[in-house]
Amino acid sequence: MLEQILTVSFMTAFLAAAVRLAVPLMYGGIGEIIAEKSGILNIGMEGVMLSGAFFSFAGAWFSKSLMVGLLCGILGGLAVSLLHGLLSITLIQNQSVSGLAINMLMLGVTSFLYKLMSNGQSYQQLETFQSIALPGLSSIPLIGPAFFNCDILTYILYIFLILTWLFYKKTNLGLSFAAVGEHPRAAESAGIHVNQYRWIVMIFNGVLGGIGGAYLVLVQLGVFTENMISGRGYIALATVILGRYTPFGMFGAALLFGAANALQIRLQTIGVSISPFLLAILPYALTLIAMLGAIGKSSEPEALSQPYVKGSR
Amino acid sequence: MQNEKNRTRAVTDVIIILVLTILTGTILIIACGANPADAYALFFRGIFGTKAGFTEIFVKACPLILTGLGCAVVYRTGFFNIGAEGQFYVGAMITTIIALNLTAVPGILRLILALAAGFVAGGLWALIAAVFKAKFNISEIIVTIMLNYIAINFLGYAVRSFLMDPAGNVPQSAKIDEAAQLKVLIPATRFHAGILIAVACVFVVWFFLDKTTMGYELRAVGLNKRGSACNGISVMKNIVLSAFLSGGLSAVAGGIEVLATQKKLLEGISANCGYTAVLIALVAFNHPIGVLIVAVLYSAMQVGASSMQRQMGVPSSIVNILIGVVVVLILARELFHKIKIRNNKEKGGRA
Amino acid sequence: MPLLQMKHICKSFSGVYANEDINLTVEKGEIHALLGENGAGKTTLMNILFGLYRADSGEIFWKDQLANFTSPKEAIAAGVGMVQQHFSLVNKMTVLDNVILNLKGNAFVLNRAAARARLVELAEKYGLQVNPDALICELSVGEQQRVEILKALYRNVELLILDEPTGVLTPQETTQFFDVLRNLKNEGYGIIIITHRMSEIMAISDRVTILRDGKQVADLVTAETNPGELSAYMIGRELNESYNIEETPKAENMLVMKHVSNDHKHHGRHKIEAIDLVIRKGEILGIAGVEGNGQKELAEVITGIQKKKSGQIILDGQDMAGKTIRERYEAGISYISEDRLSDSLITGMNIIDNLLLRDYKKLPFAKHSIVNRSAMRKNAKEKMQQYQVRASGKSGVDTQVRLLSGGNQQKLIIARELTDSAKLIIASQPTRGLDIGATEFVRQQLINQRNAGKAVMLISADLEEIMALSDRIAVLFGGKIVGVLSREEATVQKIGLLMGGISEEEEK
Repeated sequence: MLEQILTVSFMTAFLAAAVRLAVPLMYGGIGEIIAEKSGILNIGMEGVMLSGAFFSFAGAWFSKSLMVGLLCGILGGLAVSLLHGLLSITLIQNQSVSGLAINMLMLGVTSFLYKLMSNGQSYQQLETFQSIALPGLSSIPLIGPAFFNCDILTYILYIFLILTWLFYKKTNLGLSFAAVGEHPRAAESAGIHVNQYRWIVMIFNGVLGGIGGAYLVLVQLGVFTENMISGRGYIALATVILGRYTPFGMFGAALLFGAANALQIRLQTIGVSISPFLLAILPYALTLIAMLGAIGKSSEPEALSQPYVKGSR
Repeated sequence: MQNEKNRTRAVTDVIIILVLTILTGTILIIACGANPADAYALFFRGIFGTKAGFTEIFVKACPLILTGLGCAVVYRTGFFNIGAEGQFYVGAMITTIIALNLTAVPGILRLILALAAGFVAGGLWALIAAVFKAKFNISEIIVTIMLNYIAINFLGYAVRSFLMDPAGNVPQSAKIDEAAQLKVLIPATRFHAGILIAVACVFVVWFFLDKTTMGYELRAVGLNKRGSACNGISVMKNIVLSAFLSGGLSAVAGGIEVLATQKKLLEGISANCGYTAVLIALVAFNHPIGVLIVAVLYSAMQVGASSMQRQMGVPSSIVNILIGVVVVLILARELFHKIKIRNNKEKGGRA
Repeated sequence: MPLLQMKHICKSFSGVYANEDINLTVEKGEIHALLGENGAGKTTLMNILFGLYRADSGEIFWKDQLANFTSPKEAIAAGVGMVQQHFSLVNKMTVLDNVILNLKGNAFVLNRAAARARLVELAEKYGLQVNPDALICELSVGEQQRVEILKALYRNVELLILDEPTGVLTPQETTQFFDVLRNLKNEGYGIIIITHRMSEIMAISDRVTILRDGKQVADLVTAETNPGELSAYMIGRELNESYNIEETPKAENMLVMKHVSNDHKHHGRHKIEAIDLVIRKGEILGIAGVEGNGQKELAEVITGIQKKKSGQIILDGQDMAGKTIRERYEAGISYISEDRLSDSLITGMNIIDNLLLRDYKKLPFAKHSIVNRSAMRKNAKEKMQQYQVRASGKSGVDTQVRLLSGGNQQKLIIARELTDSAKLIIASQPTRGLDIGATEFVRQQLINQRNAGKAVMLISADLEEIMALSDRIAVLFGGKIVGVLSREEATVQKIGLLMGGISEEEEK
């Protein structure tokens, strides 16, 4: 069995699958990092991604254009995040409750709309985004085919991860956005409009989560199915914690989830008899253990999920 | 004065939420191209038309009542357990194992033992999150969600290996023998004895929360942890206790589904009731009797909606949308008053 | 040309004057002290200057220009900086990042090298040594204060307002801090320092303005005054209320504290050290002192909310070591906390339930863990009547406690805590925020307890209250008891000096 695994072709295919499975998590994760760094916890990421998935499918189907589909997915995700913004920023409601309610609502809404749209028929798969091999980079053994022979959305994600990292590390605005999540009162006293900034992060949260959902449809599967996010939104939340609220940490954590998933699929195809279900437990168990390991050096923004009311302590 | 003002406010809130929810339902029905009057007629015929349909409400409500109670108990202490789903599965698994294997024990005793073991196992499963929270201050939300996936995947493994029916090759357990089943009480329906257990639990939990010193402590801790601690009430003890109870109740829901409705363990047996339960508890404001009422109403809507789906093609996911809408409206209820105040101001300005 | 002139500033909150016709002038290179008791209106006045509040009337001139700032942003832009009592620093960011947070002159991509250079230069110039790359959470409170000052200096302020800056500093840090202030003064900065501490005013300030009950009672040149005069101005009138204080025997000890220190690293903000105290039966012991000198810690160590690190606490001959909060209550320690809403009450519960927070497990309210609602209700009705708790509306004992007025909330706590079995009553700021009627009621209740042979520890920032009620007065300063005076020997002046950290010998 080990000989079968330790071949270059197996490892290459495995890594490539890991990356592909991780990309939606990474989109959700980066959207969540941006929101949480400014103090908004969006448990509703699952709903955001589901909305992104459905509307991207509907958009692409009716327009016959992947780009229009992507745009619809973005708008679908955005609408959900803005609803969360309304409930948690403007109406200062409990962010966890709001997020959960949104997940249930979107599960119903997307299933309903899909039934309405399909009327019982099943759809053909959409044409999906094509892979683009980056010349040079993609011929690096192992890593090349996995990371540099991907679709356009994956490359955009790479760029976005780097930009996000630079934004928080190097820019004036990045510092302000982080201060909003750490100590809103200090931010306000430095002249930052806390809730305005929080609305802005919810826009990013929705757009990126929407793309994450759309990715499943427009790149991976070409179809929409009910409840197709099936927990990826929650896993994205876990990758953020595991990655300690940094883009690259989250990248690594999402890759871990992707790898565990890919391993389970790959092992099945070569007929290895470890239960895929036991393998699927691995990333969740790892997350719990990793969270225990992170005790004491918490990187969670201090004002996470606390509503900010101007003038209060 | 203020109490009365709050009360009238609450009544107007309820009315506004009801009207908006019914309005949403009607719009959704129209969107499907159905005639709302016909649809509602079917909806009510589905609920009240047949004995089987009416009793089916309680069959569907049974797991929701128990998981909803589990959520209500634990939310009273401010511990946001979203792990009812996983606790349900743990309970279902343990109950199955006991019911299938302890064949030496006579039926009714085995049944009680199986449910009790499920209760304890589910309680312990929930306790993991409580310990993470109380000892290490790690968010219970993420922990319980992770635990859900672990439980669900483990069940997937179990029904394909050690719990798989040796006589078949479908991923499900062997059938529970009749002696250990929860009996159907009304012939020609699925109305089973487990429903009585669920209703009994409502009153037990209500009694516990309302009439015992433990319930008093839970309430105090949920409302003000610091104040409770300063008066000598242990915060940790109460979080742990409520988490255990919560997990146990959800687990019993799983056990009853196995012993009464499905008569075997299979994947997807919870039908997501662990997540629905969260919303049911929220809508019921964590009151046990409220949970009973909301769970029954929700199930009635499901039964009515599935009859609409069968005969008019109106998707039954309308019900999911509507409960989501209700919770969002409850959260957004401040908005009604803001709008009202603005309107009043405008009127005042003109006059 | 004066740097700042505030003229005839008035500000009232719901009809009560917080500032009434106050005038304040600060020159360049002047350290101006603002002295007064808690609630005298010092912070309100400074918040008006800094743009956090708007004055009802009066004018502010900044460098002879009319300038009523409407936000801190405007004030800072004009050159007024304020270091609040509670710092506004982001814990997980570096010192440098905190200083340059959202600065107007920042480029989109931060130039940290240039900013660091300027920060280091500023820090060296004024002796505000701090590592620019350290995280705030790694710094001591004193270092954090330096960061706050650097933040203001970096923004080119010319007037610096410091609200109780030394409250959080050790004596050594205070000395260093004063050197910094002198440097700033020599560079021409104007400084307003809000404080209670007479010794500091004498040591550092050029002039001092004294507020009492929102009014300006004096504007003095520091060199021409002395601590005695300052404390007389600050506290003002002699006491006029008299209470029915009977002779009590006071022969036996109720509470004995031997060398008690708290575990302040794990609990509480402040430290208490080697406290030796005795309260006798039939006695009220007043604890005077500026807030934040360990009052809350003292109360919580006795009640068991905080752990003690060392020492011994003995109640009526019984050692309290290892006893839980509830066991101590049952042994006879009752507690009226200064933080009524968070520590003493559960405001989301009703009157019935709040009255039983201590006794809900006992007969007749519960038997075999099952509560007896009618006994609980009866108890609430009786207590409401006996202690004159009034709930507006028709709900009576079912009224949620958050809907009660402050006075009624406090009466509720008293009704619960002053049980027959209580031996020691710790009352912390028991009349704060109450109207005159409720205040009188609460004070009379405490005296009744004393007359009945119990012991009362009265912790209050209101010196008048302490002097009117106490048999003896202990003064807490920097977590230590710096003096204990009998009722006869206590004068406003003596206590005022002790509260400011000056012992009698030092004054002479």
